[in-house]
Amino acid sequence: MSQSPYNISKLFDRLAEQGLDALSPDDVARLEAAANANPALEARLARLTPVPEPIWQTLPPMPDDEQWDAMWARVHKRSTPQAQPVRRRLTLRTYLRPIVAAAACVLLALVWNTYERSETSAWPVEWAHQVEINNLEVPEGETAFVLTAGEANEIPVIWVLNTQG
Amino acid sequence: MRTTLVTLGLAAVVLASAAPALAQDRPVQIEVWSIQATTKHDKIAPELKEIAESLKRQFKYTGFTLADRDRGGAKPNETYKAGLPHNYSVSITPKSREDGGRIKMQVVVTKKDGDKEKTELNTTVTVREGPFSLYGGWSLPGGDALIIAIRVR
Repeated sequence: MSQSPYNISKLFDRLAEQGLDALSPDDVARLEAAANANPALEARLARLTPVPEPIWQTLPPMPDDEQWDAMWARVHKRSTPQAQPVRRRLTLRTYLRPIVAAAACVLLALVWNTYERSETSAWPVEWAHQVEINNLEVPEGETAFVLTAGEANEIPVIWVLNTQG
Repeated sequence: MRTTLVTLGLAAVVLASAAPALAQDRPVQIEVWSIQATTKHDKIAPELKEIAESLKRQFKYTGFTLADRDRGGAKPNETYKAGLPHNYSVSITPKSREDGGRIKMQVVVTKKDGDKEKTELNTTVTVREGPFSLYGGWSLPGGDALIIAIRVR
């Protein structure tokens, strides 16, 4: 059975306007056979854009530049942080740790200073009453002996006497 | 707060345990007096009154003057050297700190004779911290004598 060009043309138009669902299986087969036999028809079919689903045909138009700018301005405005920085109430507890640390340092410095001062403070004059002699050497020709001084002869003095001549 | 107190407590324990070691190594303060005993006068320096009278009785000297004072320090086994009148010098080397607040030290008295240095006395003594120990008898010009007083702490 030959396909009349009028029928094929009508099938093509119906396909282009309403999509594949508007054709019966027989119509699709006829159109396919015609496309296989006619390269020009095949090229026309390839250039067809799919008919959008009804739901997509009811979409509103895309926003223009002005509408995009307005939208971004709203986004930026609402993304600004609303919360205020937390203000801590300053109490003694806040400073307690640093105060204790500072007090410890001051105490250490005072103790050290007092120790240093005591070391260099006045050194009263006293005379040794006990001297343990661990070792004693004098050159040849000299003699060493221990004499005592003080009111009660309680202060030892290591005395070196030249015995030569 | 608890962390701070614990840290301070630990620091105190560490310091306390280290204190004896630190005390053993701490420098020794040294003071040296040069005393000139003479027959040329009878002046006695006030600081020397306690010892002068008995030395007068034992020797011919009538006057005792404080010729020089020297103060310094040395760590254990380090030597402190003090110059004395008339080319004498004394080197003091603290050896150790002993129990009962005593210090063991080496005392070396030398006299410079030209280029040479002659040892006049080499002694090691253990003395209580604070009071002066006395060493003397070396001849000075004019028949005077040198007495050295040394104290450490």
